[in-house]
Amino acid sequence: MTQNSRKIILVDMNAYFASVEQASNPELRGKAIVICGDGRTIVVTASYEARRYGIKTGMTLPEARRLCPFVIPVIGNLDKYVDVSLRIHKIMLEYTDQVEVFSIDECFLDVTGVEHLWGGAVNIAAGIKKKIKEQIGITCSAGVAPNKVVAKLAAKSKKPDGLTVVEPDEVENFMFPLPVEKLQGVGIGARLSEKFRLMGINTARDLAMADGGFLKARFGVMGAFYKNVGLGRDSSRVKKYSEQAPVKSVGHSHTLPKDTYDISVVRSYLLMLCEKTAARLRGYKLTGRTVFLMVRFGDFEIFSGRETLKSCFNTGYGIFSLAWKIFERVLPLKKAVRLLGVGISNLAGGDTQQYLFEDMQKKQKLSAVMDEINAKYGELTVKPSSVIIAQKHGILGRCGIISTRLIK
Amino acid sequence: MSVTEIGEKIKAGVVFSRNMAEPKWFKWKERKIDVISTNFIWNTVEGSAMLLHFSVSAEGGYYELSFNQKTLEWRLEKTGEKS
Repeated sequence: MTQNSRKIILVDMNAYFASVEQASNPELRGKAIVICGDGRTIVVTASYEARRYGIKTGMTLPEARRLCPFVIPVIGNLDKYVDVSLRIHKIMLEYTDQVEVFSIDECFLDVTGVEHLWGGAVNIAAGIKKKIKEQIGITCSAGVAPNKVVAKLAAKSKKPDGLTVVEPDEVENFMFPLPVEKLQGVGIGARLSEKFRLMGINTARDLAMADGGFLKARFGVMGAFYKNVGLGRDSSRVKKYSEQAPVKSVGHSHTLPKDTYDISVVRSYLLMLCEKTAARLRGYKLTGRTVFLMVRFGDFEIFSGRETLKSCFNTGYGIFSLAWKIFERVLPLKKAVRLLGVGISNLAGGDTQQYLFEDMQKKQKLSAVMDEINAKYGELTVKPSSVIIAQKHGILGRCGIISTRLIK
Repeated sequence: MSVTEIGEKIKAGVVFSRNMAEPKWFKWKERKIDVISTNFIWNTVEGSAMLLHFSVSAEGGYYELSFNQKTLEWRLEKTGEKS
């Protein structure tokens, strides 16, 4: 089979989170809505009605309201969106097991070997769109092409509710006129497209025709990749649904309900995030050695750092110890803290290291017991007492971790 | 409209058919609220319990109900009541 004879589909849900909320609540349909976190807010996504006013992802809610005073903010519910995604995957899996989840709202399908059962790849794409609309009540755009790069760009080319087909002999006609900014999402980010512009590479055609040696000198091994993107060539395969990408890092971040200089509040939130991260790590049966911390201040300036130990661990206390050590680099605080993010990488599989020292052994046992109770009754039903400070400051549901239900 | 978080236990009248549960009415604050339509259903997990969530429309507005399949408890999670 040649690369050109493949049939790849990319299904991309339209304004996904907003669409799910509009399907969920008829009062929101046809209205300008934005999905935000709880408390104060960054726009995570906007409905198409809101986008007409220029509202975009990443804006603050006050900015969005300036563009559209009647925009309705809706608090996001990730659990809902994940569940709906899984239902969408089931629809796709009716056609093939080669369904690669690219993101929460995008999937690739390779229907090369099965399209004859369904009257062709375009029929499959149309069938998936129809079923998603009927069963979930939301629309998507689909791209059908000989490879993943072109399929993704084809899906992007018509939103909402599009179905774009690019045959093998149409790839150059489709790709070449695209400005480099339109190649974002297929390995070329915003900064890179700016660099291309400065180099006189303005379109996919310019990129395709650029000298391979020049691109290699400028970008190393990625030079050849970028040239292939310009040409609309891509030989990467679509993974099967059952293939899981290895976990490379685990982390959590949280925007505080209000900016704070209060170290006890910061400490409490950080400990909470560390406990949550550690619980997930243990759930994956992984340990890690490198802890990274991100702090966003009230003026949106960001501080980040990392620390690595020689041995692996997966306790909340262990992660917190390193995270706090990193945080101490910004003390005394000159600016209020707005957001905290913590994570752990350099992961390894298998059981945790057996500690020699009794206090670390106790912490391991305690973590195991906490995991068992929290698994039964809800995340952080049992929590370190200092996390209660975060509760009083205003814990937010989208951290998703504080259970208010009592053990009975 | 604005949505208010409630999180209170309720009584609910439900029809089970075609492998699905469909709430028909619920009682909250001594009011009986008849469900006009179920708009959306989704699942979440809380501890070891599976929760079924229902977005429903009623005369008073929009409501989000949840059913804990382990405790068999119904809760009113949110309302978007019309003013």
